[in-house]
Amino acid sequence: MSRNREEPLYNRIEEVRTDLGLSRQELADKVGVHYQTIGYLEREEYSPSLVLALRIAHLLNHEVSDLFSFTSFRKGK
Amino acid sequence: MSKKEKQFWAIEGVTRREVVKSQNDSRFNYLRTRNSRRLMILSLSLLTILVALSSALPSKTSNYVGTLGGLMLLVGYLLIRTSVRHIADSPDELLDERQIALRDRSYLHSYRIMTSMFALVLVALFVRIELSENRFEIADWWGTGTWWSILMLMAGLPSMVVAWLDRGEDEISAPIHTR
Repeated sequence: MSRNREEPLYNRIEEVRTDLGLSRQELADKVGVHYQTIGYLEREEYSPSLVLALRIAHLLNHEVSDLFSFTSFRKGK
Repeated sequence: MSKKEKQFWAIEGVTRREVVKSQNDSRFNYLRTRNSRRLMILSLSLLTILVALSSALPSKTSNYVGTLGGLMLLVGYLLIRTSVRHIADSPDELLDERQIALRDRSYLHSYRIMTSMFALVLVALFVRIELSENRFEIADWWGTGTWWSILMLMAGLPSMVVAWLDRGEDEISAPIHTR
């Protein structure tokens, strides 16, 4: 087994983004990434760097710990 | 007048304009679907092998077939670059962190694939030379097609690997999705 096996990182980006009425493209433009990268993040297929996580959290007016977790967020939380 | 923007043609083989245009294109493009990417990878791999083997044909035929196959490889190379939005050829300045990681991973895989292929070719040549009763001439196996195939591998393999690793865009929701 690899020593660097990555733990899955869960997030609430899609939930918070849609609550704010932002499209993927708008969020992507504001944090400076491609809109596909937002899609990968929302599907939890890509774990962001700390800098990107902080940028997203700042833009969505949340703490990083509210948006990202090593344990799954319950639906509707 | 604004300062001239840095171009990347000399080293990376792309222009800033074509990368930005390709990255900002949010319209559906069949070339970027998973199936077409897989089909392009398969076709280009087969074509590269066939074009390389065409060098073993008689000299005149070999030149014609090699040139024709080479031009087909060039078209395939341009298509697969477009299919992956030029990620494999772009500099850091024009990509985001996920794309940079994807590009870097593709170069690692490409290096491994190329070294394995060259090792196999060297072993095959060694065996051929050792077992040959007649004098073996490498020039008999080296022609227009060989050059084109090597060029294709050097230039196109990273894009082929990106096309393999990256999810097809038909499986990703539209950028204006707000639920």
